[in-house]
Amino acid sequence: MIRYAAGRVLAIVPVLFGVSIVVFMLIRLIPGNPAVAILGERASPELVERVKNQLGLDLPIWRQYLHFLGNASRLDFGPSYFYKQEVSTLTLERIPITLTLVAYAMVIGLVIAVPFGIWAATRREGPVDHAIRLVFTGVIGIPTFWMGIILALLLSVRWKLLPLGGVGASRLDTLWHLTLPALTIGLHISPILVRALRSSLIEVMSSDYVTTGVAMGLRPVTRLFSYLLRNGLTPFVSTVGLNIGWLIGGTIIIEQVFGVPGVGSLLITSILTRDYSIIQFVALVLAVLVILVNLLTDLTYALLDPRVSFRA
Amino acid sequence: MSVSTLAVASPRRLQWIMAGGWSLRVGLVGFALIAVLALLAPWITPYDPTTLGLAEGLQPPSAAHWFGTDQLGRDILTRVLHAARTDLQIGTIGVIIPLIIGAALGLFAGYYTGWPDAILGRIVDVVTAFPFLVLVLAIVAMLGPGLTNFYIAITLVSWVAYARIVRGEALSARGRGYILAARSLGYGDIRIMFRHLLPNVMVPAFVFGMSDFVLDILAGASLGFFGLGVQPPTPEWGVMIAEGRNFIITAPWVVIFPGLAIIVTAFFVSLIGDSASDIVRRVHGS
Amino acid sequence: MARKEALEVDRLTVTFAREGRAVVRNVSFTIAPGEAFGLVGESGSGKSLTCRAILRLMPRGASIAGRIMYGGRDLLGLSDGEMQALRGSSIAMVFQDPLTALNPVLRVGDSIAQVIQAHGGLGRRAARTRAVEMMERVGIRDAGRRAAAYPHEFSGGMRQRIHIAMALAARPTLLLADEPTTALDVVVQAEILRLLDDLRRQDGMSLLLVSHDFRVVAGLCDRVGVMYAGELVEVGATQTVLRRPEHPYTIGLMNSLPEAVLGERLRAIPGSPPDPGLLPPGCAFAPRCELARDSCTAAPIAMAEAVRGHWARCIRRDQLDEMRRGLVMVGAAGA
Repeated sequence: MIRYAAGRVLAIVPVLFGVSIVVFMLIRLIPGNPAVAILGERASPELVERVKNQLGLDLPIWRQYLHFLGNASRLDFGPSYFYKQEVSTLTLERIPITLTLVAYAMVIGLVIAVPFGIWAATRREGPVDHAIRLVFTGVIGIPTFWMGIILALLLSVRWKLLPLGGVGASRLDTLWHLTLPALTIGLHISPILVRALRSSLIEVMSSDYVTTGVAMGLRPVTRLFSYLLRNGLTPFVSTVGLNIGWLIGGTIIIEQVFGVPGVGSLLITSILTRDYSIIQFVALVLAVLVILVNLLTDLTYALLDPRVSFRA
Repeated sequence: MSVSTLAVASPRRLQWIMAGGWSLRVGLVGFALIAVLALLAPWITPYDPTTLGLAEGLQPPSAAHWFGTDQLGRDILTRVLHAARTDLQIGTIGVIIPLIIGAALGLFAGYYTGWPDAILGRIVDVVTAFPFLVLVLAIVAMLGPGLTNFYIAITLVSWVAYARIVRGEALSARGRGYILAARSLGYGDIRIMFRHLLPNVMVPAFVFGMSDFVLDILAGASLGFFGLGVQPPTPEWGVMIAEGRNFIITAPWVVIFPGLAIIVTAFFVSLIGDSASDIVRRVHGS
Repeated sequence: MARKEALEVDRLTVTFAREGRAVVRNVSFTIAPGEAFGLVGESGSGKSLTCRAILRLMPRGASIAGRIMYGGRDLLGLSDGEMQALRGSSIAMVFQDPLTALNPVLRVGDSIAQVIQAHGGLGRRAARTRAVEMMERVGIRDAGRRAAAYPHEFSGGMRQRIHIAMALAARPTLLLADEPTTALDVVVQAEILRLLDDLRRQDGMSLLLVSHDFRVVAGLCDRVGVMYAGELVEVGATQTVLRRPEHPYTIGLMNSLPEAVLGERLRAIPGSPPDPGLLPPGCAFAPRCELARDSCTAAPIAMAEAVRGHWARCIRRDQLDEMRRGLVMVGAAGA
């Protein structure tokens, strides 16, 4: 198991490098002079020169990359000319609220998805199953921003059930304020969760060892936990982890729609204000987050399924 | 596979099971309807999408305006149908170009294996490490807003999904009887790849294309909503929702109908995609 | 341990309603207490479904008719709760593929202990101890340590032993074995069969052994039934059936075994098993039978007693001498 974990950790190193290259290349996509783009049209020539030097834009590309890596490892992405703060500080202080929102959304998503997933799997091919699948197929197509607006209209404005986003005074109050955004994101990801749970449960239910469990006269409760869930949750957890990108995408949109001061709204605002350093850093941070979540998912899978580390 | 069927031609094509059930038919009919309405929009819509009529601003749905009017007095039904042209185009182009590029690269990697495959694998790993929307947003941020840049961004990010699928299929198919037979007859690699391998590995890619279609429309609408996608005056559903956002309390229809358009379109396409993947699974799995 | 009972299967019929076919048709046989009964037939003959019907482990869409008497009760009339109590404790089953039959995420000791706890009232630790004992009984060395291992860490034969240990853990009086050795290689097959035989004799347990391979059944079973197209076509004491088969299909089955033919070419039965949905009213085997007459397919054929306790469903039995002459005894001297 340790060996497997070490192997997985080593495997992400080249990916991290690759990600850093992509982030590095992003700025080079800008048509024209990046320094001018960063500073704006009206920047003085001296300022442009200074930024050019800072970014090392006149050096050969590989030296620029090393320069970039050096800065990145010190989390130095320069200052934000818009916020007048260090990019890294600015971004990192917003991470906790985004993570809270993501976790909260995942919980809500599971609360919605798990009962329906189990229900659909146990009534498979029946009218209930088809109805559930149909409804959630419809839900996939609901644009997140639209759902956020409509839910805000109904739950916050019309029926005054939930606050409209932003942050609250205390920890608990913030959680309360995050409920509407988290609910929206949770609904957004629930179809994927339902689908994944349903299919992994169905696969487990039709497997031979479940028949053995019945044949041996084990009680339904024993079978549910030791046989069905214990085997069915594993691929489900894996799917959930792999779809974290989808979750993050929804979070970005919702943060902006509801004015949650997280990394997502920072990204959107930075795009609108052409704050390129922030965009780069946020992209990097989110990619690293995804990589870490995938790593965690792999390790969890290995923990749950004894066959995995054995094969590795 | 019995020796007698080892003809050099590819194995028999997928029997198109029209018994894909009612969901396939509903999806196809529904989508066809939308597509036809969108195509004919300039001729069938009662109003012009850009005509302003400030006196008639924010009218609720009525006989004259089935979907009501927006704050500038424009007929929403007309705009929704015209926007359909844009959004369907986004879905189509957003699928076709990455599909072609990704499938070609995946085919090469899966057929030759070795270092082309290893390189492709690395690139795929890196690109998929970024959440889809994040990378698309970042690229659009660098290139500037607009439909063309959106297409560029989508292409740069989406191709990997297709490459991965086709590569997987190619990898498993290259060891099968008909491929080995073709190689033993001395057929060139390119010919084998495109005439024998390609038709058989593309199906899962097309099936994925359906859900990618929905994904692209949602992405396009999201970017449009934030002003980073399609630029006015071109109508687009996401842009319409953004424009109507401020009036949602007094005139919710301005936001509701474009949203419904997205939901309904996505629903029909998803039905097609789900049925298709069921069929593929049944045939492949046997 | 519960009292030894006879299993009486009475006109068992299994139908798949949606497809409108009866895959098990009016099968009747009895297994005396402590007796080993073999059920032989090609795949598709309905032998596995017959076996599963006893424990009501049917696939979706299957409906059962008839009676299955055990311990004075009709198993087909029991509630789910009563069936659950009976499974594993009175009647247990062993399946074909030990790789997929064992829960991959449970340690084997725990898998066995669960069965013990489900039927015994033994506590966790006592159940674990008994599980290790069972593992030793089925021939797993170093059982104490091996109980903590997972199924994938064992070889096929070992896994089947563990599977058998699970089945016998709650001391059933009847064991159903559905092709228990088919997924194993030849050497291991013999070991497993011997294990089953030993265990059976030690506990006085009845055994229903289902197989497509006559040799497997011949070496182990006191009585044997031959199934074809969902019907029982011949039933009797193994020795009697082997020495003097009373049905053309039985002869065909015995002929198609490699060791039945010394120096001669393998004689396969011409044709293939029929589609259960397209059966003629009379003998299902008639289309492939060299002795068939019109009278064979006209009306259903009843079982006729050839010798005491030896029944066959064939009206052309008197013509079988010629076919029997070509036979070489299969496993008559024992496994």
